[in-house]
Amino acid sequence: MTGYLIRRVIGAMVVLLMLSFLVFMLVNAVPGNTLTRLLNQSPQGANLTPEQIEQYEIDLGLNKPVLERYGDWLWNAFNGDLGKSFATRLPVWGEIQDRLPRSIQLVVMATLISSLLAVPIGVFSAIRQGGPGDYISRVFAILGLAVPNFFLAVLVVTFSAGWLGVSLSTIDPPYIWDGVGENLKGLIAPALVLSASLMATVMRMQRSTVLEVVNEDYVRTARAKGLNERAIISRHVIRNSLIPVITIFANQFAFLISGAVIVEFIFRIDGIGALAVRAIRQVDFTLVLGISLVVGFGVVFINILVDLSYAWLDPRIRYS
Amino acid sequence: MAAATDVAELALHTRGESPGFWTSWGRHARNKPLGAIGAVFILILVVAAIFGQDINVGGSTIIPGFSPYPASETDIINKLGSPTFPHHIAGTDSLGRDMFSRIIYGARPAIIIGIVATGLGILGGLLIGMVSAYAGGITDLLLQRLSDAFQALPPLLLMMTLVTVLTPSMTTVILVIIIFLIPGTQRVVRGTVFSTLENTYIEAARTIGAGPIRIISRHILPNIMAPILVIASVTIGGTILAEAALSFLGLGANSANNPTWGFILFEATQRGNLDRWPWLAITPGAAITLIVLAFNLLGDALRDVLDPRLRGTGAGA
Repeated sequence: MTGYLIRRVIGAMVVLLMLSFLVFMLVNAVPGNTLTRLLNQSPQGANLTPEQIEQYEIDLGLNKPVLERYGDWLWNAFNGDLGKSFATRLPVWGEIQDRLPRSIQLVVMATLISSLLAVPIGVFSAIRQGGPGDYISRVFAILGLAVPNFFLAVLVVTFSAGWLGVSLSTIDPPYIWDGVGENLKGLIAPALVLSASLMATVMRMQRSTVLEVVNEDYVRTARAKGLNERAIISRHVIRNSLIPVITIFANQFAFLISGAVIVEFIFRIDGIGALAVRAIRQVDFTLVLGISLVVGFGVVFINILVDLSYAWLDPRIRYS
Repeated sequence: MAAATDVAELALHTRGESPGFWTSWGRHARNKPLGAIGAVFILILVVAAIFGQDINVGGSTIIPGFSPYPASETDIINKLGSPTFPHHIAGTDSLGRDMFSRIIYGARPAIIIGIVATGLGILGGLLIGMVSAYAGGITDLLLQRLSDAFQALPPLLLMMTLVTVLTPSMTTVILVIIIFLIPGTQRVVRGTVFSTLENTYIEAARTIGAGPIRIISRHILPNIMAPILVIASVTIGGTILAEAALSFLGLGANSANNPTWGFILFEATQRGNLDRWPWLAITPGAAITLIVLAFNLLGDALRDVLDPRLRGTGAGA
């Protein structure tokens, strides 16, 4: 187990190293001088003298070759310093740290909503296969996969404001520890929008795995020995159907963050997603790198966690 | 009922008569009405994509488009008009441009990107997956870790960064979606190739001296074609969604004369009091939803028809 964990962690570090290198090279491949692009975006940039521009270049370390800069960046990142934002001159980690709690909360809430709703509905849909409940939930699932989250978000923001008189878009929710009520009021609608497509995916997956598991021999055995239906479903069927479903959660995690980018942008939540949109638009390249690294870390970490959860769900799985 | 059809088909096959192309697809369409509806809707959109706007060759219009107005023709007097029959059946936007025409124009980039980007992305995944599985060793390891690195980044972040680096255009968006599709596809291909390589007939082919090219083209490719087709058909919807999301963020294939649906929706959000002119948002949003729905329905039906093994595995879902 420990050996397996060590190998996974080393693998994860290799992946993050490659990720940071890729993104570094990518942002550096921006056509034209990075600095000129950057200065064009800022109001005072146009009035700078050549000497000042040169000074900027030295300040930002742009006068060194790319590989050397990557080396420097990597060394600093190892020491916990992700550099300063090109646009705001504030430390990147600080910028990320301020916004991380809201984004994590949004993603956690969306995951909870989807699992708490989609798993039971999927199970119900499968055991009542062909019934009206099954039919309705499948229609919703197939719609949930097709509706773009930005369309859903626009609909919710617009029509809650105009028709229900609730403004959802201008609330910048406080951290959850600064006021649970206000925080939830601001985040529940975006979390619901974000959870829609995940819910649809999980529902479909749960339904089809339950349908598969129901036909297994051990379920017939359980029936034959006189176990009641409730016990069969909860003890034998659901537990055995969960592994593929949990894999879906892991696979969808990166997509969930993509969704969070859009949802935060539309609901004007000042989170990592909104920060990423801003950073990419401003070609704020230290910030893009920092966000990529932090988000990549999250994705890799979740994947390891999910793989470990298999052993808990299915005692036959042992890592060595 | 499906089983009965299968038996009937089997009986036909064993008697040496195979059902004609149209008969067999007609039967599939009857068994999978939702898939058939999806296919019909896609067909309508393909027609709109081709003939909706003028077809120009060398600066002169060969076939004039059937959309009621050019997408960027403004009609200021009737701006923000609600849907009226027959002039503006989907209303007009804040510059008085006909929403229905704009939606028709938007079909072209959506269909082109959906089909071209998905096709090339799957092809790229196919090539890399096969090379990775067949080469093994260090090549395999490097390619797999590289694809892990790509997949550790949320797709939208990856695509946004790439588009910014390359400056937004139709070609850029296609390229970026290809890059996003390759890692996932190559993984499925690689897995399938590995399981195919286990078969005795591969060993037999090697024994009689078949080279890698022959083994790949004659023994492996035919085996993985069905899953690949299925993956492609369920991926198109996702590709169109990805382009729409990029367009919505101003990084898509949108151009002045050819608006994309995502961008039309973005324009709508820039207009205040959207609840007073809901058609601005609902028309493009519904267009995206319906086309993705159509491709998903067709994809599900194709999956059941072409590759029953993938049924319920959620491939591409």
